[in-house]
Amino acid sequence: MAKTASRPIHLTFRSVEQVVVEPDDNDRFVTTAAEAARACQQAQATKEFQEKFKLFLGHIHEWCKSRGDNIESGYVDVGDGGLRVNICMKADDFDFEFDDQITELDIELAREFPECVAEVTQLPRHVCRQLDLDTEFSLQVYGDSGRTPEAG
Amino acid sequence: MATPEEHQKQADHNQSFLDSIDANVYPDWVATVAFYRAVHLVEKLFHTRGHDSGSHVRRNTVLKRQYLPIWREYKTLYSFSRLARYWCLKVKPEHTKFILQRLSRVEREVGNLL
Repeated sequence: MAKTASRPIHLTFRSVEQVVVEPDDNDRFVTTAAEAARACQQAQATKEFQEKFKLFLGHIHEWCKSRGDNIESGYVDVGDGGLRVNICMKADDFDFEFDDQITELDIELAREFPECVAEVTQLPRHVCRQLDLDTEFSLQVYGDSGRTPEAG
Repeated sequence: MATPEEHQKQADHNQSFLDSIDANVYPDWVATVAFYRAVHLVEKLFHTRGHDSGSHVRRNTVLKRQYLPIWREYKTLYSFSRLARYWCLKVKPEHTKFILQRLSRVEREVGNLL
């Protein structure tokens, strides 16, 4: 039994040792331990962001669901300065009173998910229909369309 | 970069234009001009407080993080006027009272901080 198997490999950002990385396709390459440590840190940050992003989508889904009498669907896509959360209404007219709730969601998302810079907008039904939000570049987080957030 | 006084002058200029618009004929322009009056009032505040804005995204982020009472009123002006400008939202004369109400609250909140 190899005793070294239980010892963790120690990578530091200051290390100058070389590391051989052997992927499953055997296309091996050599890098430094410092580079490998940075790659691990980046992978961890990506994993944490993905988990946070799932919670972000779930939060919007639950928010829409609890207001299902007014909301037909909800989408998230990428805009100029961050994510766009589009809330499609069942009504054709812009609802000013409801927009206060939209603003509170916008504030909640900024407070609870600062990593996911987003802007929430109420879209009356006729605007929603002309925009065709149901594309491969957006995630539907609420409503029926045959596509789910998991499907992308 | 414009000074706080220049932003106030532009805000006043926009108010004059707003007063001249027939809301029964051009309610969409009421929304747009009201929003741009609000933008200049916010810019005046930002210059006074030393914030850098320069874009809608940056301005909105600062408002959302540091000036929630203003953001709560400004946000609807921003969203509604954008829908009217770019997405052909059907703006009705009866919408303008809500728009002007929001603008009045932005004026009040900004005024409280200057």
